[in-house]
Amino acid sequence: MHKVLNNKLAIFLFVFPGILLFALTFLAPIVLSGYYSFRDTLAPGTNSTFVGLGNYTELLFHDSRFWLSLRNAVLLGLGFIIIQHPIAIFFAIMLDRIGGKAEKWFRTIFFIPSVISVVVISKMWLSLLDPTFGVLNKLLDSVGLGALKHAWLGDSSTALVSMLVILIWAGFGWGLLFYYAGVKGIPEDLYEAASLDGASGFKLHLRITVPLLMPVITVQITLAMITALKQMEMVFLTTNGGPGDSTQFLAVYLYNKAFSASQYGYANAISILFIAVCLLFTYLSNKLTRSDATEY
Amino acid sequence: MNKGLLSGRSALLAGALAATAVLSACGSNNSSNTASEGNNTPAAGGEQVTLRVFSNLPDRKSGQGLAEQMVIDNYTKENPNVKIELETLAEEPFKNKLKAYMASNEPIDVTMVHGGAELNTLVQAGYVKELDPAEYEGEAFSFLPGVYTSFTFNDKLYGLPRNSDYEVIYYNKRLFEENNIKVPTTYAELIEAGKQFREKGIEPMSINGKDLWSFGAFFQDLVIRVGGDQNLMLDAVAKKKDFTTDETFKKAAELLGEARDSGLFQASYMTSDYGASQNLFTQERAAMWYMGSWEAGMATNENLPQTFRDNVAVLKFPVVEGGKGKNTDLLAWNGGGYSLVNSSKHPEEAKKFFDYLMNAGQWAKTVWDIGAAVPAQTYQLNGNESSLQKELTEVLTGATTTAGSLGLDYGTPKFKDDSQNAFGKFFAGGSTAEQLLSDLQSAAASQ
Amino acid sequence: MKKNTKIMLWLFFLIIAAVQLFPFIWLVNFSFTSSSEFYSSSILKWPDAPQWQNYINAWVDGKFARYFFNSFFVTAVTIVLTVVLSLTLGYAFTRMQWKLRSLFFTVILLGIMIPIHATLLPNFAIFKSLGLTDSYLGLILPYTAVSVPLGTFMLTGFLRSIPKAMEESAVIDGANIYRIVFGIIAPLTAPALVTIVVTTFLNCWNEFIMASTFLSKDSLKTLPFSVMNFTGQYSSDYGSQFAVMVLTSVPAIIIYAIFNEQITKGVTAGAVKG
Repeated sequence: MHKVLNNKLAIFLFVFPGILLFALTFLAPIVLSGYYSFRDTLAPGTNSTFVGLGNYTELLFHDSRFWLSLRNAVLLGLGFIIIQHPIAIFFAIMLDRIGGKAEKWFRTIFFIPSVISVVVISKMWLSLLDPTFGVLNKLLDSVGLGALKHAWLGDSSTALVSMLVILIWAGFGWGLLFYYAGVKGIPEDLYEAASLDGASGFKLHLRITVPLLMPVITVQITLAMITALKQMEMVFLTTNGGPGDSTQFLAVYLYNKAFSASQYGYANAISILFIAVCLLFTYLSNKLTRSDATEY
Repeated sequence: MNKGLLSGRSALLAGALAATAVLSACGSNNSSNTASEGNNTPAAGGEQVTLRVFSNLPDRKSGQGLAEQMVIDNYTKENPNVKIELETLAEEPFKNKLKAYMASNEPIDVTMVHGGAELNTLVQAGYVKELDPAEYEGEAFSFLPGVYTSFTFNDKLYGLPRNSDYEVIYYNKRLFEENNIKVPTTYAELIEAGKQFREKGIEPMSINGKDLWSFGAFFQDLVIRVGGDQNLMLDAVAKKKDFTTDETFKKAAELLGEARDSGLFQASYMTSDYGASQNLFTQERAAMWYMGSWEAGMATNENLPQTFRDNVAVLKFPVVEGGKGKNTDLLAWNGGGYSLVNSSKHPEEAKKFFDYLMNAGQWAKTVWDIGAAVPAQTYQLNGNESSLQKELTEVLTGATTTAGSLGLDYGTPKFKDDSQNAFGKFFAGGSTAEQLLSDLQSAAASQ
Repeated sequence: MKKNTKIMLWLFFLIIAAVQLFPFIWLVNFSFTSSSEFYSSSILKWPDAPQWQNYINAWVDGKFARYFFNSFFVTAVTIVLTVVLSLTLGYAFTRMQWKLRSLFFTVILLGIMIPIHATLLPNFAIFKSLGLTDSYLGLILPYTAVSVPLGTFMLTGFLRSIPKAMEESAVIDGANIYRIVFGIIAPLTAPALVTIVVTTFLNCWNEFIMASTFLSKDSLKTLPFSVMNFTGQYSSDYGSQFAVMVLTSVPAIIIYAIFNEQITKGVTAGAVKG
């Protein structure tokens, strides 16, 4: 056994293609980004001048839009963790209770938004949330809550929340799926034992289910934070960071800096910090939520 | 870095001359000859060539996209050895892709370009080819005077404009008449009309707020109406004037705030892109649309409702009470155009096609005949013009001064991005008139 | 009381199901209307006359068949590559013994965290210089690179939960390492592999930023990109825009419906054991 698992050629064959691909699509671009992040240039191929840490100091100390983007990502991530995930856990438990054919049907339906392309979802929600012709406002009108009508995505006070709702709607299926799988993996006899002790309903789940789901929750929370930080397509296609930066995110900001503003060196400095922030958050959330069940 | 090198004064001349040019072209019948006549020696039966053309006009069945397609079809018919491989993307993806092409020196042959800041980036990257203006003189091309300004950097020409662009207010006559609302001639009347439409549940004016640049144009229009000086805005961008100290800017910013606060624009204006803002107007849900002259094709687009096409008309940007500007001071410039690419694999064939495209008998004539836009070249009135086209022509020929450039495009791309962001902040309600001006000033100063 | 809670639960679930499904129903509904009906005041609208023309536009001018094939081809190859690479990497990381294993494992996992948009432009330049842009490979490689880290992550979790007995007895029978991985481990990890297949499918099928950056040739473009382009081409025609969106979404929904059971099984098997 030991000999087989020590097969150097096999290890090489197994690992090398993956690492090579990884180097080509992640490491090499990051190195290139790193190089450009110390320069001032309109785009690759144009004149560029070395500016040292200039781009970084500007970003960290003088660019409020950068910090705003980061803040929005954190808010979004917290929104996921505080709103989306508890709902998903609740639904996972209820889905397990409801049982039978319904269990399967609801599970399928809840997941459908997750399979539709962001391009489609963004167009759809732009129309649904249109202040004049959108369904939401029509609905509010028809139940006599016309006063609440709003330019949901077009008003800086509600844009980020609206974005959160869209993303929760779209990503709900994934969260549910993972928690549901977790719930399914909890042996029935644990519940029986607990109910013999007199626990029931909500309390039962709080005492049994949630702690047992902890490993799943840990991974999911890390992924939620990363998803929030990496948010790009939906924002890009709905608000493009607006109105007035209220839904600005790092990926969108850097994309616009590179393409629209032609500040290529600066954009690459954002890239590098962006990657650093993502890694830092992963590290932190692993540290904070680490449990012995997850190891890597 | 090198600014647009434009001068409003030379463009002023352009507007005036455009008037005579259009008129003198009437009745003369010799512009239908094509550029390829003189120099198609190696063409027929020659070597097979595939040219790559990159365009921002994905709709090939109406408007400017149709015009571009017709010219391409004409060319490939006359030059059977040439195949044209066309790539089209909508405006925003187009700009991004062109940057990516520039970064990797992709060998396309002819590309659509935006004059001003964006072309300047391409020029600095050495991506687009220098042109000899002498080759484009004379009747075969008949460009209007002053139209090269956004395409000229350090006295060298890098592209040719395809249209005369100017901002107008398109409006729906029926909606004004049926609701007994006066077609505005002053800014106060415009605001008032906005309020009246809003009361009737009709969106007053549609604007593509998500794209932000229309706000910049609207503001520039106000600056021109208040100050009566086409150069003020451009000078401020070029750091010769100060946004924060000049009274004209202050007044214009306040008026801009009135538009925002009185609900002149459609409720969804901050999330409306170009298409959405246009649809609102063409489906007769908005009474006005603030947009450029390149949308003449609406009147002849059969996909649009008949009642709309019968009622669409053009309004000059209204005067401001107490302002020094007249309604004939036109915010006009030449934005879109075409350039040759340096890394082209078939430079000679590419140039032949480019020259053909820019020939007055091709793009200019086609785009005018199908009513899609107002060319940057002299064109013949053909007698079949839609009333919308005629009104647009009158706006141009009646112009007493023209701007020559959009303020947003007069600085670096960074300035454009920063100032658009300032307008975004302003319209999102997050800043006052003073803040807007100080944001614009720091955008101008830091470019 | 028990019955009441059951009814409440059902009601609640039905409402949420409606919320999750409604946008899609709405989309289908308005894909049959004309542009002007889009602006009507009702929430859903029975079209005056169903506009089948919208679907004809979407099919013909949206070049649906062509783009569908491209999406299908790119996605299929990506899935195969992702599964093979995740399997070999996952096995090498969990079972095999070598020095740099934990370092490389960490590096690969970083791929989950690194935002692809941060590397898009340098990526384009690199791919360009390797002659990979404007080819199927130009999409397949980055898609695979993005999918492999997550796949490896899922698979290592799963592999750790499998006892080594099977492999040990195989070794005694004289099987070599390749037989073990592809002949024994692959079937054992099938639930996890199915999950990888489906997540990879959804990610590739719906991706558009890389597609629009890396591809120029019309003949190579994929579906989400065609939605973007089509909405430019038919900017004044909402009905046709919606029709193309419906056409693009349906294959994904069908695929999901088919594999629904397996995905849940795969996730269940992998997730709990972390």
